[in-house]
Amino acid sequence: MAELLVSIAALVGAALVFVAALGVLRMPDLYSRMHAATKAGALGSGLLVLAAAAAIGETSMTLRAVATIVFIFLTAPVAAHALGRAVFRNGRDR
Amino acid sequence: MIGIPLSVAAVFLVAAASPLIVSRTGRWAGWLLAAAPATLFAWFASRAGEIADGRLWFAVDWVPSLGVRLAFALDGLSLTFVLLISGIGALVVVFAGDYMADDSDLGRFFGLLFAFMGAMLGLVLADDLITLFVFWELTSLCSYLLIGYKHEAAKARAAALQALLITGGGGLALLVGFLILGGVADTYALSEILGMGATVKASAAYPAILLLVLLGAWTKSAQWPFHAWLPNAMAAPTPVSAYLHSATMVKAGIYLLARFDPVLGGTALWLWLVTPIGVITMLLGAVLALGQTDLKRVLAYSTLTALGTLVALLGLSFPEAVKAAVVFLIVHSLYKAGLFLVAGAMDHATGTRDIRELSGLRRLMPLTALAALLSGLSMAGLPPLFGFVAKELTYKAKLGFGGGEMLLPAVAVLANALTVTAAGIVAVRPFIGRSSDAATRARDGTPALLLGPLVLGAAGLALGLAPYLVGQRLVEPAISAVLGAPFEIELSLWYGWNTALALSVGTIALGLLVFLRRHSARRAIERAIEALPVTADSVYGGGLTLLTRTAAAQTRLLMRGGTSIHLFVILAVAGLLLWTALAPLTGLSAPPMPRADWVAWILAALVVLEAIGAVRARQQLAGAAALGALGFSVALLFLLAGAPDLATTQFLVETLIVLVLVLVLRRLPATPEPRPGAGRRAGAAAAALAVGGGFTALMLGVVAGPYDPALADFFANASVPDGKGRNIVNVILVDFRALDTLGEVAVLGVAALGVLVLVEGVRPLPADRAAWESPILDVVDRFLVPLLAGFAVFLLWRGHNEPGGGFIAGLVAAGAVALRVLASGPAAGRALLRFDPRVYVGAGLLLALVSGLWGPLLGFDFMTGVWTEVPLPGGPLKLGTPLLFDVGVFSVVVGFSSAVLVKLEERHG
Repeated sequence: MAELLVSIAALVGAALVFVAALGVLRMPDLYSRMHAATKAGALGSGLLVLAAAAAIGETSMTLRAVATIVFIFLTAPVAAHALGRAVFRNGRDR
Repeated sequence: MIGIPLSVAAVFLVAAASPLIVSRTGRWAGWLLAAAPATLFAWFASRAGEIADGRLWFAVDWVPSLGVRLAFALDGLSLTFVLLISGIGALVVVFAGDYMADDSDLGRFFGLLFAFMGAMLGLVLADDLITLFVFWELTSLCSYLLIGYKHEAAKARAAALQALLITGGGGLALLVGFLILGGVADTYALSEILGMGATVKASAAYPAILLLVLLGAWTKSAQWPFHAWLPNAMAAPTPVSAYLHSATMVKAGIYLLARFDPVLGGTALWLWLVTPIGVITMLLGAVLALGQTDLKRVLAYSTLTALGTLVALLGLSFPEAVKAAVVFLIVHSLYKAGLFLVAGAMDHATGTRDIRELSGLRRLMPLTALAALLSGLSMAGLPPLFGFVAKELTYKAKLGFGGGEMLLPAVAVLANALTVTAAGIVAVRPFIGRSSDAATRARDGTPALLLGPLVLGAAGLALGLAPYLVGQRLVEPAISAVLGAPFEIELSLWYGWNTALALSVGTIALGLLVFLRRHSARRAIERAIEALPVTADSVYGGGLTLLTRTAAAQTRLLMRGGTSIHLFVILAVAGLLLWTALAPLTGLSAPPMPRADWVAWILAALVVLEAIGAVRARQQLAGAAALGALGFSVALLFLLAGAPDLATTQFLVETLIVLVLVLVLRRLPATPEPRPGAGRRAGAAAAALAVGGGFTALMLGVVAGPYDPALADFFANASVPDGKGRNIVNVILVDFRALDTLGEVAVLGVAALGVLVLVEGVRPLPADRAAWESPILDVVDRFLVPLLAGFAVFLLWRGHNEPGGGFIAGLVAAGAVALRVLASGPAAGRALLRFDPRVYVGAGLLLALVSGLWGPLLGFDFMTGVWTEVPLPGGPLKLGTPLLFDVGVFSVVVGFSSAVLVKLEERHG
């Protein structure tokens, strides 16, 4: 059962990261590309890390996984925000 | 005899403490500081009895593998110099304390002066060729810094550089001479070499050794044709001229000749190389002195005369000549230092040193006049002053040479007569006659300004009346040291009616005659100098111009104004070397491909793709991003290979590099770079492939060879018992190879200073591109910065046992600074740091150094780890100097990274 959950989390995470990558390639403008990269990327890599932590099953690993997720959630939006701002300010959003 | 090296060390210590002492004691600094050399003078003088029979000696191994020892010895010759250095040093320091009281940088001045004093003492006390050379160079460096003390003046800087180039060049010749001499004698110990005169003179290398050592002596003692730097060195403050450029440093060459006389002297080659140069210098100085109008330059040229006389006497090398040289050495140091101080006092009182503007000071500055008269009479060689004794001995020595040769005495009479004239110009003329305009408000100086000139003048009188005061105790051991055999003398003022006395009378008469015609003499000499096609100064200037032009041409050839060409040359040469060195090693046969799992292959493919991306990127920003990604992939490969420390360092360094690259790129126009032509691209590709391919082949070859685990096993086994840590990488860095790390962080510190200087020249950022101010980034930054800082401390602490350590922790902390700088600007970055980045660099280096000093304190080698255990409830806490060292590394890394980040962002328009 645990193994099944881990597999699902890992597979969904990988799929999300893949979708994010596709989005960066295919979306028409920068804001859409940014949206793909951050939202799917954050969730995707978050799920992957969770899956890894669950598979190993040690407290120290779980702690590190949680820390990693917190850092991703803290930094990914800021990076997107900074990018968007820079593009908006320079008027090069097409 | 530990007192000898301690005395040298003490002087250097005073040098280091000078700025503090000056800032605390103000106008009493001179008196206070003079206590140090005065104490040394008394201590060494009290040793005179002991060394009359032999030498005092001290030595420790310095570089045992090369046979170099830090060795000191005290004999009669050294003692004579030591007493002059410390005695005159004390008087000059007292004088300088008042003479330079208005100088805002007096601490630096005294620091340099004492550093020179220590170097000079070390020079004359050294009993090892290499020790002697090190101190020799130190005196040149101190002289450079002191001549250029008023570095705002271009003239002072040029004079300082000239002195450094000439004496430094001679120093290099001396080093080579010493190395050959050490090879011939099979030892660097001076006391042993001194007994090997016959061996050395018989060896085939003797002429080379002699010439090289003489080049050192000639340049240092300003002998023709290397004399030009000495008159120009008068750009230094007067106390420096009195001390370095008349009494002590220029005598270092004389010391060298005297010291090596038993080894190198007494041959025909010695005689014909040394004496003629001395005679030329003597005459040149005597004539040119009369062509000067500046008091100090008159004195400088008359110093040349004295140095030439000494060199000529030492070239003769027989006992009477050596006796005259030793006595004249003492005499000249006393009267010349005294006259320089008098010149300084006159300059201080009247504001001019021009001999045409100084007269009638007798009534206004009676005590200065008295001091000047005493020193001046000694310079002129009049009885009953000590100068008279020296001149009589000089004449006797020169008359004693080769019987019928009258050329030498005749030249000596001429030079001495002109010296009498110069003495009149400097020591008598300014004080007699009607008061000049400049003299009207002149007064005798403070006690500090009078003490030196009066004591030195009085010493010349006392020794003239009672020469036995120094005869047996000082002069006799000194002569014995030069001759290498015991020698007994009796000094006295009156030797009876003889030829030397007749020559003296003639000298004084001739000197007075020229003095009466001094103005026309000066104009004639000035005209003659102008008419000369070449002077020593013009040769020096021409040589310097040639050197800089050659350097400029070479730079234009190699540095063609673009990094790409520069890089191409470096890479092409590196590639070529790599392949030519590689070919014999591997035979260029394809080594077997290493086995690796598929994750490694994927990462390798990624690295290749990112490299292509970086090369093909049309915009610099994209190229920087691709390079960063490449670095991360390589770091992952490191991680895969089981090197977490290396990988972590790589991650952090890549992050910071991309950041710095972006900060730099922000300053460049955002337009894509024009694509270079096909030829250049092909060339660049060839060079890159040669280097990359070469390294790949090298790595494959190394991996294919048999693996020797000896070193890895050693570190794995020794890490915990010897280094008290489980993280081998960190233990190697801070314990086993700590000295290497110390060198590396020192390089980092120097690089930080270089970056700070370079960034000053960076074009400022346009104001509109500087603003950032994002509330979102700001808020996140407030969470992240403390987190990162805490994480850095954690990494630093655990680094000795688990991945981490000072370097990694420093990079993480630098990341925190970078984030703060990006979010809130460089001012906020500085506020976060609290201290200037340079403070972190300096404090880190100091900490690393101090941590290494624990070992020697307990009798181990430098940088040996010292550990202690603190009992704590949760188990003993191990604390050791390697941890302290790691904190130092941490601090340097933080300082370096912050310096780059903060400085780059601070350059706004």
